[in-house]
Amino acid sequence: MAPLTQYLLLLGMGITTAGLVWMLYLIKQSLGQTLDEPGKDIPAESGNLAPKPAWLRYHVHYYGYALLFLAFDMEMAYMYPWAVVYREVGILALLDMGVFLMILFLGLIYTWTQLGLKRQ
Amino acid sequence: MATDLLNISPQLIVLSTTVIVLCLEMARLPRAALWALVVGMLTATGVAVDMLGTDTTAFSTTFRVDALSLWAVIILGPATILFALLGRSELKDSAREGTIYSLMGFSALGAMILAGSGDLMFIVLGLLISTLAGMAMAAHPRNDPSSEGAMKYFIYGSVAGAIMLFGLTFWAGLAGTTLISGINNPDLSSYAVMFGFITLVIGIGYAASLFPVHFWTPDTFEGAPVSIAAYLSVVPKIGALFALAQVVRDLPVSLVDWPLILAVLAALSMTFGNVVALWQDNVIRLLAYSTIAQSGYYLLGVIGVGQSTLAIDSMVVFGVAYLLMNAGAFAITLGEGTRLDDFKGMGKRRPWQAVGMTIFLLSLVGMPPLAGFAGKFLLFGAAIESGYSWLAVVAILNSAISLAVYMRIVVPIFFQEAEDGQIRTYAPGTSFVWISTLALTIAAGIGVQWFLG
Repeated sequence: MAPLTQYLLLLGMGITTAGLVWMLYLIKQSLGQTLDEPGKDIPAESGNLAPKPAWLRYHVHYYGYALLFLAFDMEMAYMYPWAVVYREVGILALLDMGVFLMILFLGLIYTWTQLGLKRQ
Repeated sequence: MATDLLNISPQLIVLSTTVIVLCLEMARLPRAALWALVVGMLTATGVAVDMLGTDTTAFSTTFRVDALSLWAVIILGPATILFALLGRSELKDSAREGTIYSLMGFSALGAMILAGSGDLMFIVLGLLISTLAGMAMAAHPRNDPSSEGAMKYFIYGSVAGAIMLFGLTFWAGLAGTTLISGINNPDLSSYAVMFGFITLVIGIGYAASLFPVHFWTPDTFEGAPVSIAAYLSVVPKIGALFALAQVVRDLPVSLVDWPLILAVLAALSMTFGNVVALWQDNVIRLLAYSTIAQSGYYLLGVIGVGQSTLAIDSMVVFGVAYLLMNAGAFAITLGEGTRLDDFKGMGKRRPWQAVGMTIFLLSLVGMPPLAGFAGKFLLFGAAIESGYSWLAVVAILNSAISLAVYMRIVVPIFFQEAEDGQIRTYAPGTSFVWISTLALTIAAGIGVQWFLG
């Protein structure tokens, strides 16, 4: 298919979508007048008024864990290339990864001593 | 492998020191952590001094062991000690005091990696280590101004870092390698190389607070503890500018006219920093704008790389001088207070400190025979030798403006009466820092001039 035809198809699809929306608007207009009533702006809660405002601030208790998880999960990505060359390089690769994991593990212990793993 | 490890032994010592410092902080021994940092940094500096003169590479030419990377260790090791002592004076007995020392060590390690980078990945890595640790330090007081400052540092850093990474992929794609020396090929496409270079300058300019990406500097410095602001004004900046020198060493002028790009940035940085500093009422903000101007001067040395014999010497000498005078000025600010009004009547109250502050500020202007003069003299020489005389003229004019900037601190010290208020005291660490840097500012200035004949 020529590129121009593809773009024409895309254009046609855009026009069809816009036309469909416009049609729906026209159908709604033809069915009669709508009245603006204050009750229509209230969120539907099965007939009851909402007990609390919807805009609440709440604490994301687990954000510390989330950050830790992300950090360690990202570091795991380094293990794939390491695993590929592991057989070739041998014991040296194991030592390299040991140093890397030791430093990484230190971060976890630090978080622990700073009470970052405490259940909140 | 073994020789590689020996070649990067200063950096390895810094890394292990920092790990030990972190362990001592976990054991809640901040005092021991400080001493471990001092001993470790002195050892690393000693090893680097011993290795001076080596010019080799490590790990398949990805890390360069040369004058720049060794001098970076020799400058940044003692720098970390000075700022850790200032930090001890300011943050003693605060929560997570030892973490600050550990973060200082990590950030210095990042700057040392930057200074020796022979591979684009090392530049990215070094920039990340040095600035992320700096962000955590800036947020240390956990109040609104410090969080705001750290957030600005972080957001600018992530955007600048993302732009830099995007541009560096062009370099890696063109050269087929991430080694910096891969770009040293006149057959490459000039536009793509220029695009990569401009994004690299954005990333490095962020850490060095150069003109177009400096906006975080005053806010972060104002919110952070004074010792941390002092640290951020020196350590990441020296690392980043040394990394820029490592890059332009391999960048052919026929591909990108990098001296011209850097010259324009230097002129804008100097002028902007000095002119805006004229309006500041907070000493920390004033010094922050002054560091923007000083990194403009520093670029003169980078411009000379490959064209002037003075280039590397001038960068090293100015690095030492900049560390001494900036650490001293921040130390006295820590002792006196951060408002200009706090300096009123200091000449009568504390004559020695007043004279010391004046000497630091005159050294920042570049008055002979102080260290700042020696550094700027060499920088201007490097710029003139590389054919950028107009830039040297702009720099000299800017030195004249900066005299007016620094006089804004000197005038209240000697010619205004003190306001009634509580007199702040100098902690022993602060006194040690300002006295030692004062002695070295004078000694280094005279020593370099004697050395140059």
